[in-house]
Amino acid sequence: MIKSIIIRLLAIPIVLMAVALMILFLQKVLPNPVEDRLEQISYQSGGIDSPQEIELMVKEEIFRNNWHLPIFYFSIRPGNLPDWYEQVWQPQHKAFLEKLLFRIRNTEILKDFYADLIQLRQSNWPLVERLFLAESTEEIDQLINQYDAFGDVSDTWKQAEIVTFNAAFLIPKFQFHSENQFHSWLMAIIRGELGRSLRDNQPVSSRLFGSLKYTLWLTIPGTLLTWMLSLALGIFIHSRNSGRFASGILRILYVVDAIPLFLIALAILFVFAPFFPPIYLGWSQSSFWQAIPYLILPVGSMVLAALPYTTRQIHSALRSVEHKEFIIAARLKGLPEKKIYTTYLLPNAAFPLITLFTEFLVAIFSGAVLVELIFAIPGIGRLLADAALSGDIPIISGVILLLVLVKMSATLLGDILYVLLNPSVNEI
Amino acid sequence: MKFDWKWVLPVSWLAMLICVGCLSYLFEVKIRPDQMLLTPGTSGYILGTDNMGRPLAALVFQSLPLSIGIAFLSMLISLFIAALVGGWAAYLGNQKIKIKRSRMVASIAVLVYLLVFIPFFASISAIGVVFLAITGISIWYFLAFILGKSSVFRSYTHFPIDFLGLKMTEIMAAIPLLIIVLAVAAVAKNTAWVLIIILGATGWTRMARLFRGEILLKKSMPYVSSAEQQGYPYISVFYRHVLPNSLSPLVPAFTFGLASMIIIESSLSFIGIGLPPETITLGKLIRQFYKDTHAWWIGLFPGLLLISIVLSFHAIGDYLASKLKS
Repeated sequence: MIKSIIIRLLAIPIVLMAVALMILFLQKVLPNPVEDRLEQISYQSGGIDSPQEIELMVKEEIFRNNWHLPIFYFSIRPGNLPDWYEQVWQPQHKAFLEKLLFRIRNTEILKDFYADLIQLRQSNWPLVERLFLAESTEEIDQLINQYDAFGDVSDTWKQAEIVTFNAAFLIPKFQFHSENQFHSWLMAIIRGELGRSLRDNQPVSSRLFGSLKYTLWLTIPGTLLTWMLSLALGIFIHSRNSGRFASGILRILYVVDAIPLFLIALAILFVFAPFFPPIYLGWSQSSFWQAIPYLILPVGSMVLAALPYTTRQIHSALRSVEHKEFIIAARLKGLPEKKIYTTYLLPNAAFPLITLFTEFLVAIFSGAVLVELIFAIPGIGRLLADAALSGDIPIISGVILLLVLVKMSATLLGDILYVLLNPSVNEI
Repeated sequence: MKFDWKWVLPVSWLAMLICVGCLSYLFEVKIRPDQMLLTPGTSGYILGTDNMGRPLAALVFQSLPLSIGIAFLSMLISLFIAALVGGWAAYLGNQKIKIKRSRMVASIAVLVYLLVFIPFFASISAIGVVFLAITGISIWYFLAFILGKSSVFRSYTHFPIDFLGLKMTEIMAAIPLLIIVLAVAAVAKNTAWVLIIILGATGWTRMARLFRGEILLKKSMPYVSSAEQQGYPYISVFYRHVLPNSLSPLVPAFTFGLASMIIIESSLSFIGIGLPPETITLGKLIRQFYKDTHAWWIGLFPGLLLISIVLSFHAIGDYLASKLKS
């Protein structure tokens, strides 16, 4: 058993790597965050800075996030891609050059053309930037003929041999990159860094651990309370002396189960706000004991939302062992009801509940998103919601990695509990 | 004919809500700054007005077809994916598909190639896609041809499609639905169609598990094996015998799924993600209430309506499940 536990523990980092790789892939495939981010920078400057200064800020951002590097160790690229293409870091210029690659036969001329444009840009910035936005070679022709300021550039452009389609574009060229985004990302992950937040440039891991504390203040009491309450309720409903209450409680739970968590939290906030302090601003300065009055309402709403499901599961788990022979035998022997519950019913009903518990640990994190948002608690869920609203991908991927870690450890814990409770299960 | 109120009541309630919701689009909603936040009953507004002076009754009913429609379409996508991953893959199992080793290696290599290079070529759009397709196909043929020369790779092997489907379901089920959707919707475009696709592409795990269990039961039935032994192709056996006979446990799961999709969609709108800002949904109205808790009617009526919809779907699902059991 210890051997299989060790194997499972070793599997955790591998799965984490796989998930992180999937997230990296998604980031690269989905609508490009690079351009959004750069647009945001030019927004923030609000037109006060000169274009040169904005470009410097953009360059800093790109080099800090390694967006200028190729993605993987090797790449297969259009055959006529020039070597100096790697040194161009402006995304707009890259797109411009890529467009020209399959329309120009003598691509060597591109180098001079691009160098001329960069030189001209020092004196006439807006005109050249307008040219970089050109969609087709015809538009470039038109622009160059229209403005005399291009001078030398137009001479270089006239040497270009324009064709409808350059077949050299389709011949693949194999290239090796020692420095690439994947490599730097992998090295950072091995060092334990998850990147930096796009919004405030803080390391993701420090943001995560900073807010994990508050989520744990919320989820640990929430989990304990939910399980204690639902065990008590489940046993009460199941016991013989519950009588008429049982169906009433089940009906109430049925209705509560249909209320979305955010409505429960809002209702609690609305109803109990006069009696309990609902919103607290001093989270960062206070300890757990000082924060308890402010945790009552959020923990209460989480418990109320989770209670129906867990109670029903416990109830049905108890009902499934109720008619087993050994229970009937114990009843016929005349054992006291308390002993029947503690030694026969509950231990045998525990197996489905272990699985339920491992699922619960992860589900409570998704509940934390809404509760933390409503009660203004600076935890993981709030961090995720804010990151999602502003498209802060490093933070989002950090939160998801953390959740996968929680899920895997919960499953491992559940399997170990399984073996401990039932010695006949040897393999986990 | 005897009515069973357990299903007549929720079904007629939902039907009425959808009808009123569709009819309410005939009513043009205007922004009237002079009539902001009127309490219910004043100057002819039955449910009051919101913070832009729009009548709350019209807003609430106009958002209903959207919520239910998004939930329904995304569940249809989920059902399709569940039928593929939990149904078709489980029926084929790990033994039925045989493939040449050389072709399998070539396919894996091309898959890795595409995964790594789609990001780079995404910027060159149409030309990039053509380039990727041409190089991908030629790499596949080249590898399959070269590897096919050696005797090790020429032999056939089983393609473990069921194993892959099972692992995919496990990985998807590991992270709560709300969090996956939140993470993906954050970087995608804000439109209803994108939201439907995201919800559909992530919410299929529960149905896939149910499907798999049922298909594994039906697969061993004598009529399936006799159809297979008569030489019918697997796909027609699947569609004519296995699939129709294993759909029944999915009906209640589909109804419960509708309820959970509605909850997730409204939670997302409450957070402020998923749908474009100008669309009105129940979640967004409730968000208005959160920002200004004095306007209790903006929270109360949409909230009660949301609860009633979820409750109706739960009731229908329970009724269907109990009918199927007996």
